Amino acid sequence: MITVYYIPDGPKNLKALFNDLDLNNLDHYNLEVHDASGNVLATTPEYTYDKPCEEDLVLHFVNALGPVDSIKCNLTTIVHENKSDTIQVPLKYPLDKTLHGVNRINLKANDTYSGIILATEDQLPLVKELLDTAALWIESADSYIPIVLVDGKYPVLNDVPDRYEYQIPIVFTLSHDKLTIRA
Amino acid sequence: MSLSITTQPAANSLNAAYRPIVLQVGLTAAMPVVYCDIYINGIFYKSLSSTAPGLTIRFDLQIESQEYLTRFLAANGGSAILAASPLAISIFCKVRGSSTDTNGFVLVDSPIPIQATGGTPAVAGGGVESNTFYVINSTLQNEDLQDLAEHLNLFKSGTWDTNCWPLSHRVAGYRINSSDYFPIVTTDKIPVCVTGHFTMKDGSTITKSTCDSRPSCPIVTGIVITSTDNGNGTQSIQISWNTPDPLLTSISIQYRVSGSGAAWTSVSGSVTSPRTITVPVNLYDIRLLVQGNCQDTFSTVYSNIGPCLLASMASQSLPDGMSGEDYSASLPISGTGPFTLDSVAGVPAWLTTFEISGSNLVLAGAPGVDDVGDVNITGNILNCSSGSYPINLAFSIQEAAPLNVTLQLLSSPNSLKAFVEGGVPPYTYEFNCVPTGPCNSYSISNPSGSTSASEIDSNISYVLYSGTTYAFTCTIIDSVGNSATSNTVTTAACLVPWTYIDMHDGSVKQLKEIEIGMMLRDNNKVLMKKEHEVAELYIINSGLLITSRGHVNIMADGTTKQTYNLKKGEELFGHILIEDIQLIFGKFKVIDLATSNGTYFANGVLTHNKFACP
Repeated sequence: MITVYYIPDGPKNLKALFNDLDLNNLDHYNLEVHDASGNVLATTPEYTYDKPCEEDLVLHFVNALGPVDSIKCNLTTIVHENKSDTIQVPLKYPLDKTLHGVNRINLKANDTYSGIILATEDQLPLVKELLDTAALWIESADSYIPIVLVDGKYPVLNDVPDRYEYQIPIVFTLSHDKLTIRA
Repeated sequence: MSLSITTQPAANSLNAAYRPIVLQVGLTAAMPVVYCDIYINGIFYKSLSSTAPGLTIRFDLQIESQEYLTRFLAANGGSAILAASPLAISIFCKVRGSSTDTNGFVLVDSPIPIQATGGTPAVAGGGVESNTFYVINSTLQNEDLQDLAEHLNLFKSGTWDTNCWPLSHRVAGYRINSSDYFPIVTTDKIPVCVTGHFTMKDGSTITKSTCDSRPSCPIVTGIVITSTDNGNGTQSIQISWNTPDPLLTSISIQYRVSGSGAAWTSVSGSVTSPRTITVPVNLYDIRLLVQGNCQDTFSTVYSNIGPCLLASMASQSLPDGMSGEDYSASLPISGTGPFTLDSVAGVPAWLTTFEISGSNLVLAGAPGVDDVGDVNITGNILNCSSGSYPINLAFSIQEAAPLNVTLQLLSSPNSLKAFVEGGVPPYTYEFNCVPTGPCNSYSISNPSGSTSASEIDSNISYVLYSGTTYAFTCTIIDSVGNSATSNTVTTAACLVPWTYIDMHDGSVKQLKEIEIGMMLRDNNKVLMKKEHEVAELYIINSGLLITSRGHVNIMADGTTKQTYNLKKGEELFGHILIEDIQLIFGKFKVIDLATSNGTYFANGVLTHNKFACP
């Protein structure tokens, strides 16, 4: 019987697993997974703990092997953009001056987020899986919000001398446009 | 007409859903339609069909796998180990054939599977069953390693169970600061506990462990299992149990053939009792996997479930064997095992293997020259309840065909090829060369050895001295001492005596009039001249050149080619198109020359000479 298991290993999950773990002083860690007999089934890679910053966003995405993976991103800008058509409505007599003569309709609005992913060369394949994913989410409080990557050309590898970490720009929008209450 | 699965994923192998998952079916005769019924997690999902002509049909299961598999998003910041069941499936297929009746309607040759509906149970399908294998919602297109399990092995770090693999390409140094899950896949394990090894900023290390805090799922009680033979090679196994705890959400029925040690086939479904599975007739081990908001729990394994049917064989016919050649055969047994042999008589001493292996009666041995004759074996095959099925096997061991060897002389490269027929392999062989003439130089790369092959090659090299011929033969001795010697192939390379040779003074003389020391065209001195007798002549372009088999010609591009290798359409030196080649047999006198230039003009055509002795 084949089964895929998700092993909780993020700092946020560890807080629930080991509530007395001092995350403020944590540097790096890995986890082992055991069956009921105590046999080791799996070992995670070694993780480097990054203290969360205001600008941090965690992107959760369907990776090339099927399950949901995650990558940290530094948010740089948020651009709010809207588009609409206008409609001119007939006015009543006598004129009610509070009523609009021209209204906006078909209003669409969304936020475009720009960020930077920092990755070492051996982490680049995972970043490319993120760029090519069909479904991804950002974290919001204790849940997820679906987002959509903006198609484009992403410079993944730049041959800069002495560079050991790469900055990959990323642009995405929220999956749902903002809906406006009909006036 | 019958069909068989000739290519398929290995049993219990991991496969990526986004690359071909091919099942190839071989037919003994063409069929109007071939069906492939796909069973996912033990339940019939859908059928593919092919009306392609030919005896090889190919089904690709990747689209069906992709449409079944979906994504799984775990709770943000959760602490439980979660089973992400939509990400992996087990698959097997049953392949069915068909025929056409006299009215042209297609008739299927095995029962058609039907999915269960609200109040109607599923109908089991028939056909040839494939291996059960696993498909994961993965891509591999750009990876060096196209075997999914091997690819995932590259991303293991630390200790891993052999049947567990990571499903992420993350590497050491992965930065992490929020909710995250590490995905793994396992074919037979249940992860329960997590141990963390933490290194703090001051260099100290801490180890902490925790286990799934949920209670174990309650064991289902009152399990009753009954088996009914459906009379069509299948049986229905019904499993019932007491009403379970409301905590449970799913009960998977897992089964495998008793004593096989194979991976469990799992059929997930509701907790409502009873449930039925339909499987081929055999004895099975069965257990229940209880799942819900609790730790997964297995029930006791119930062994040897199934009707005990008498053994039988569709055929007891065996092929005849040949003395000196290994003999092997396998006859499938149907019914319910384990099968045993009883009261067996007539097994010859050379038949060293006569046993039951799984569901097959296996025969193997090496009959010698003294074992020629008929073989009659009688006995019984007993089934799981010692019910008896008589066997009466008859075949014969025939004498090996007479040993014979034929030798051919090939060029490009110069080589000998011996064709061996009959006799009893392995053979020992020896290539021989008998040169005649004033001088010689030759070598044989593979002069002797031993082989079981029917064709033996050896490269040769020799210098074509004027007046020298090389006669090659091959001698074969088989494993029982029979010997045979091949025909003789020779390397004579000459022209007929009436060929006109261009002289230095511009005149021409017939080859028979040429003397040693004469000057030929281009100040070319005759060094040697020899006569031979040959059994065949090649006539090029109705007499432009008449040569022996091995005469060396100069081609338009400057390369050389022996006459027997020339073909119509090729060009000799001077762009002389070869329009016709005739071969005549008899006894003919031919003459070769050795010249100081290495060539001379014969009937106006530049041709190669033979070498003078050193």
